[in-house]
Amino acid sequence: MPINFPGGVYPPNKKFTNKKYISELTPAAKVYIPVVQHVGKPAKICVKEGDYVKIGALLASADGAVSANIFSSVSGKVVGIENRQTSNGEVAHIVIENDFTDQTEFLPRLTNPTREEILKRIADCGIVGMGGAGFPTAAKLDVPKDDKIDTLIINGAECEPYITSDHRIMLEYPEQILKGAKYIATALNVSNIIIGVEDNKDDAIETLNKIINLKNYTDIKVVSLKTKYPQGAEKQLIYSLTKRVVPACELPFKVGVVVNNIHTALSVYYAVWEGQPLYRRVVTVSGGAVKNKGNYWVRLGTAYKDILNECKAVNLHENIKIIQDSIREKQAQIDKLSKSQSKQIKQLKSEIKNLKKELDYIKTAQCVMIVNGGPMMGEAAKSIEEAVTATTSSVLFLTRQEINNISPSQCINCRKCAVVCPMKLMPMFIDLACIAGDWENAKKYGAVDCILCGCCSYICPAKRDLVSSMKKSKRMIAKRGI
Amino acid sequence: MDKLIEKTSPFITSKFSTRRIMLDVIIALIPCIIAGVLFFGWGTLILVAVCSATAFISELLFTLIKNNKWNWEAVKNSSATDLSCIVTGILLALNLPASIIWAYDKEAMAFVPGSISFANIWMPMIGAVFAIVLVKMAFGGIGRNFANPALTARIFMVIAFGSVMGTVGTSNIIGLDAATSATWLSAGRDAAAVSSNWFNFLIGNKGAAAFGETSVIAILVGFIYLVIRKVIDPRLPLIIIGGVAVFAYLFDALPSGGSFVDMMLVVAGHILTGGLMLGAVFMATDYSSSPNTFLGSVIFGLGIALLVVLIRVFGSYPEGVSFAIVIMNIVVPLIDKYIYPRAFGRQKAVRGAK
Ligand code: SF4
Ligand code: SF4
Repeated sequence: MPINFPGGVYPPNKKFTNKKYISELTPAAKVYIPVVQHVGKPAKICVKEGDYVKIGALLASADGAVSANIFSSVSGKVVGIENRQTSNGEVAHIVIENDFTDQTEFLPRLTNPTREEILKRIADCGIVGMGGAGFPTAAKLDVPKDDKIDTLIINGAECEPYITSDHRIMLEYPEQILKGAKYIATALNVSNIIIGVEDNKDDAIETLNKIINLKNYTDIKVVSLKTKYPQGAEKQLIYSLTKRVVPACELPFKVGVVVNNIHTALSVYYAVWEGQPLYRRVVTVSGGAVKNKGNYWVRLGTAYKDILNECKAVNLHENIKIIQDSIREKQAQIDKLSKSQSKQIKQLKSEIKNLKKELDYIKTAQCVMIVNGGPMMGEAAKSIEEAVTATTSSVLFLTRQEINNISPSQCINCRKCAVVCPMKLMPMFIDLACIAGDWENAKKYGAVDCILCGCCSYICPAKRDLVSSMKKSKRMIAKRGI
Repeated sequence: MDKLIEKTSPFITSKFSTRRIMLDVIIALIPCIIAGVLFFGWGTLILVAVCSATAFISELLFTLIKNNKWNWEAVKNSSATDLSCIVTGILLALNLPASIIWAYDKEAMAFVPGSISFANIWMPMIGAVFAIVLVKMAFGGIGRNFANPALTARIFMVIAFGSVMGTVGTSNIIGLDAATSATWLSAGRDAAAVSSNWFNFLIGNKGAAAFGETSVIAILVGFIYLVIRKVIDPRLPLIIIGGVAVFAYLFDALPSGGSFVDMMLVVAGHILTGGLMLGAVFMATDYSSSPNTFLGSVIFGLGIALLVVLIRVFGSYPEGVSFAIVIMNIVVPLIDKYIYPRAFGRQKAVRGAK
């Protein structure tokens, strides 16, 4: 039986950066570190303006069980604590000026850690789910006593277009991932680890298997999954790998499974072995508007504008101006020439034509949208001032050509959305109910179970913005307590 | 940097669009139109053109009047440009008898096959307006119509213009043996007619009450195209055709007796003649008037099949596909109300063996 789940779509791959080695992005002069990089309560700030901090210094400490510590990602002076806009509303940011000395303040290495030591270290280092959800890992691993866990799944599906950070990590840090996975397994007290990887990343599967054979890790199994979106969604991944169905509104441990992302496993390794708190992550920088697409170690809190500075934008207003000027110049030359010099005129005309072509190209490379995450589930940034957080697996600078800008038309009732919905919902009816404000019906057709994967909006021939309706319905149902 | 676009995910979409789907349906209908021209003459092409043009203009005018905007922009934004009205127009034309465009020979008291006369051309035009304005747009346009517009218009025309609509086209245009002037369904449904004529039955050289239904082969080509392009779910037409086979066997072949081969020939006759194929492939699969779940489609398809056979065998009317589909269209909201899927995880949880 193919390793698969019902529903789903096949968006274009667009993995432009899967051959690009991970390199360190030059740290910015200033970083803006938000106190919420996770699901749950904001962390409590424990530094003040003027403090000197090193890499790995605690900036804000976890507030309760579902929260996470926040650390400095550069060494330097705290120059301010300010509220800044993010796509999730206003959040307090700690602004640090980098002195580029890169002094560190890490924890000691744990050589033979026990279960409790690992759990404590994960909490101390502020590790959160790095695939996009951002659920604090310590809280995730703290499973209720009566739910027996028998399987740890490491999610290497990475099914979103463009993103290649997990893929590169698997190729370049396989040993570290496997060790990290083993630490998590020890913390959970399970001896069955499955790493699920989509079959468009065969090289990663091969690399992992090589290390597993070499080290004789008999408890780890790498499984090749069908390439299909959303293969990496938690409930779908669990179904694909174990054929277990997570009940609605329940967490995976109900069926004896815990899922962690590849990058989370890597961070756990760094936390336990190197004593490094979560201060940087691998980010894919891609999209039609950047020149140096690639995978980079990025310090948390790096603003998108600094990333774009480092990776170079394709579009430059000066370029456009230069070309426009030279077109004008050539036109003037043509006007000056008399008709008899037809050869030169022809020459100039063809030059103008080429310049116009280039101009068109540059114009299409204009960045019109910055996406934090993948194009299917990511968030569109409100401004270029926003910063990378622990859950930013990629930053995409997209051009008009790459995004959908067709306005929605009336639903034609083709039911394609229901066919592709991996949660088996009826998106078109939820959409209708949402427009009518009929939240009971929205619930009846499953709005609360929606995982916001976006398959329905992706496939819809009428280009209806179904995911917006889902979000709105979810919000209203929760608010009204229906 | 220009202003950033703010939007909800996903930011990319598939290449599907309403217009592309409708274009695919139009392409899938081309073989049927060609078959119509081959067997019933060029007049059928005129019918197709007249119906589609009328449908397009009615939808365009409807949207313009409704929004009361009269500029080029409004024309471009009109829902008529999504081509679904053209599909309705073509389907309506295919559901008309070819004789509607033939000249009437007063002395012979019959239509002259293959001739062209515009005496009755206002009938299809009224039908197209009826389909678009009353059945489709009055209920909210594409996706909201309760029944198939083309079929409802056909039924309306059968009632309103019975004498013309009731005639059966005969074909001898491409030089094959002339087919009978009655359809197999109205001429006693006997097994021998099928076995002696099976080749004509398949390619479409036979009497047909609606010229689009004549060639099974042409319809099948369209069907395969639609399935490959993922426009329709092949299961619904197959359920309907399979259902008709079973019910025809039970209600027609079995009571009339005969050898097994004869019975099978009767069943084959039911499938190959009349509007069944056209209805199953192009009419029942209309998006807005069919159920939204697979289980719903099974009920819908079997309901159509049962009604078709009952009307054909026990009714006073020889053919019942349009009635069957429209009746089941009306039942669809009821089906959709009670049959909807349970979300993934709302079923009983399955915990694997440990
Ligand atoms: S309804 Fe929700 S779960 Fe279903 S496809 Fe749409 S976004 Fe995904
Ligand atoms: S895919 Fe779009 S057009 Fe089709 S039923 Fe769903 S919402 Fe309607």
